[in-house]
Amino acid sequence: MATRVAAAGGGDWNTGASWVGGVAPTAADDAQVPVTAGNMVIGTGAVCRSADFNTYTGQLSGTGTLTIGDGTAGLSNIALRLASGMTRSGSWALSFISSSSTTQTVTSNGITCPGNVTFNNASGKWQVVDNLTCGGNFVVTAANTLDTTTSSAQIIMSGSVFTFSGGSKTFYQLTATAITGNVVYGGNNSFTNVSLTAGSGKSGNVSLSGNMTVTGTLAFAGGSSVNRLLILNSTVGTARTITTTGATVTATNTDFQDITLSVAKDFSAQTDVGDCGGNSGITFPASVSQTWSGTSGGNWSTNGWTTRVPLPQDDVVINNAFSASQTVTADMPRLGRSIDWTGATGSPTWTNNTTNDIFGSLTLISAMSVTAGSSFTYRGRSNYTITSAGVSFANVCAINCPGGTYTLNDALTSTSASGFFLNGGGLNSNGFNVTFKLFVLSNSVTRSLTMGTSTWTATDSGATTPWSLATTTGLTFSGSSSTIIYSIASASTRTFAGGGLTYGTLTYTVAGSTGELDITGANSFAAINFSDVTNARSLKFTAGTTTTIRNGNGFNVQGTSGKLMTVDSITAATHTITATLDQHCQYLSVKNSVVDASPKWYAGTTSTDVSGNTNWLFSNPSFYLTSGTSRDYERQFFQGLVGNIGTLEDMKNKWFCSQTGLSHPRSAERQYLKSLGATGKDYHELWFTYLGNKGFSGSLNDRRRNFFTTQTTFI
Amino acid sequence: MDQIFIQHRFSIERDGNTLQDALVMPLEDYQKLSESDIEAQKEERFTNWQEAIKNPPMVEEPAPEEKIAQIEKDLASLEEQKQVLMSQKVEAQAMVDIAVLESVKEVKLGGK
Repeated sequence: MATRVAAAGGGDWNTGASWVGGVAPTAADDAQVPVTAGNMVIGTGAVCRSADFNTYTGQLSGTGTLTIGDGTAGLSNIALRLASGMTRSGSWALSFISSSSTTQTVTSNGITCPGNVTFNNASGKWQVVDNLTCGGNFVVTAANTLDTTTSSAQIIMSGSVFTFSGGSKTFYQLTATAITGNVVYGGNNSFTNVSLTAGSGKSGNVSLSGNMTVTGTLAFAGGSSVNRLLILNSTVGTARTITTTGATVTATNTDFQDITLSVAKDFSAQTDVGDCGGNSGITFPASVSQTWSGTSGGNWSTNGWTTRVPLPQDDVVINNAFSASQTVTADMPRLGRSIDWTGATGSPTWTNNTTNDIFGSLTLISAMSVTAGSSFTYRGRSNYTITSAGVSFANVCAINCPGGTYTLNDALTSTSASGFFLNGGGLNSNGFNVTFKLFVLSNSVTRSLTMGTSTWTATDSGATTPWSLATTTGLTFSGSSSTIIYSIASASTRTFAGGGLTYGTLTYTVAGSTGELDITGANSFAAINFSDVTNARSLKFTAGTTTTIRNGNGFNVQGTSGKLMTVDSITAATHTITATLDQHCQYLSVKNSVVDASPKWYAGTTSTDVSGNTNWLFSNPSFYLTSGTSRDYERQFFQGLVGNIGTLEDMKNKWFCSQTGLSHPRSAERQYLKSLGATGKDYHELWFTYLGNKGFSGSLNDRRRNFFTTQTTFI
Repeated sequence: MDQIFIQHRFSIERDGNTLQDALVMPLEDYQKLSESDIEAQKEERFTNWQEAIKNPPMVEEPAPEEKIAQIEKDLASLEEQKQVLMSQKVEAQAMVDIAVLESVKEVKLGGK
């Protein structure tokens, strides 16, 4: 343990030459930087037991961290003393790590630490003697005592974005004056006073991941009506309490989200406090509908609205007769409650230059375009709607509305390559199409998805997971009647992450697509349609999972001659597919696939049994027919077919009648047989749906004679 | 007075593709439309939807500088998250420490 004095030439802290005697301070040494010392630079490895810059008039610069402290108190119980006459530059940081049980002082004398300030020893005791200004993050990772109240010392955060993590300590005052971005507040801390003010940007926000107790003055202030401050809980949908017993609370140009004030505060007489939902103990100004002013476009923040730039609780009406080629730019992060463009004319364009939150319904008109690049997040906490009017969203759209539900009023199309997200709350497609590149709803937040009978079309062609629902924790799901289509041809492997849920139909039949489809999760499908007459491709399941097919012939995986569809596992182990009705496929290459012994899984004689398969039948099913109608014509017709006639091909060849037929109705769900007479021409056609071990049902069609049977069952 | 809206649901199936959509508009606007106007709007919706499916916008690969900027943003975000988690850890550890101290106190008071 020694006292090291900085040399007249100054230099790097951790270089011997910078110090009298040629030895740089160790963690056990007290460092003194007097008026005679030259400029000092904090680089890597700068340590000391204490640092005293008393009377120093030079410059302290550098980008490293000065680590101060060891197991004993510094000289005169000083941990750090900066000098009012010194200057500073760079981004050097301070880390206090003493384990001494003696309280050591930290004195700034008005000098800002440009970087982070950290206290990190559970045994350490410090007293901040005067205002400590921090340009980076202020983090109390561990401290026995951090006393700011004895000297009424403020912790002043001078940065525009920062983390204040107070270690659940008691402070005199937290002050921030220039918040323009994301501020993270951590720890369950107590304060005499808190004063948080936004700077000149529009995105200032303080995200509370810990509770706050204030006993004196709590002041939130935006920079202006458009440079607003948002106070929110870090977890959307969960309230964060600010305990304000005995405190004076003020808020101007401030919005709140998921905040509870323990002592109710009434801001209703003001016009500048915004309600983003989830708040309690706060009375907000009443909602006032705001209408866009004028026939020109312009910025959301500068338009002459009815009475004010919309607060989150204000409905927004844009029904103006715009001049040609006008653009409305949403340059505010929080746009308002319900936004309605109904009645607007002039084909306006809506764009943005920042992410936008919408706290209610959105109603677009077909004669407008949305060219927004930054995201829309729908945050309304009640029942709201989205009316797209045929307008596509090229920007990211996310739904995050705890306790609320967004219901579509019409089809929705998202063309964003980054995706369409369900991050919380409910989405009900209400029977309308939803088209997207990626639909991402894999998280653990409480949310619901009602797919109804809608068709959900994925249009991404990259090696992606267009349907991304691997994690279903917290999800209420209804999708058994839905249709999901991977509609775009691709050479890439794409994934359907089903999360083990119950779906309707999954279809990947787009022609010319060679890309593999991987299905993850132990899902249930009414049907999987996987076919392509132009090329082969692969359908793979997660090894070890069981996929359920609910419809007869619902496993509609069909290749063609020379273009076998591969059915396999994603990794080298078996998967299981189960059904309750027979399945009939053809032109497959099957590997690692376990199916039921009963019902029967026919791969047909056109398929290849590669390896690792169980219960697949590489043969054709046989049929047994009896007549089931009472019409003379049909009785005569079918009498030639009674009995077990063997294979499908056999049946085709033996079926004849005396009447000619012309019809060729088609049904993707049904098979048909053509009768061939002596001349080889088509006669009648028997349409049937094979029901597996229940036989099949169908009808005899002769459209020339308008002659139909109905639901004749052949067993 | 509240405005009354009409939601005219429709479904168009063509070439194996099915669009289920709706025209939504104020009642007074709907009443001014002829049948052919309505059909034309439906067709336009189907055409636009097909276009979105068949010709989805191409995504340009970001420039290296853009990738670096995004990575730095992500790193800054992770650093923030790390700070939050560290503070939560400290709180949790403090609770553990209190519990340990309380149990030690009980033992000592019990004279054991």
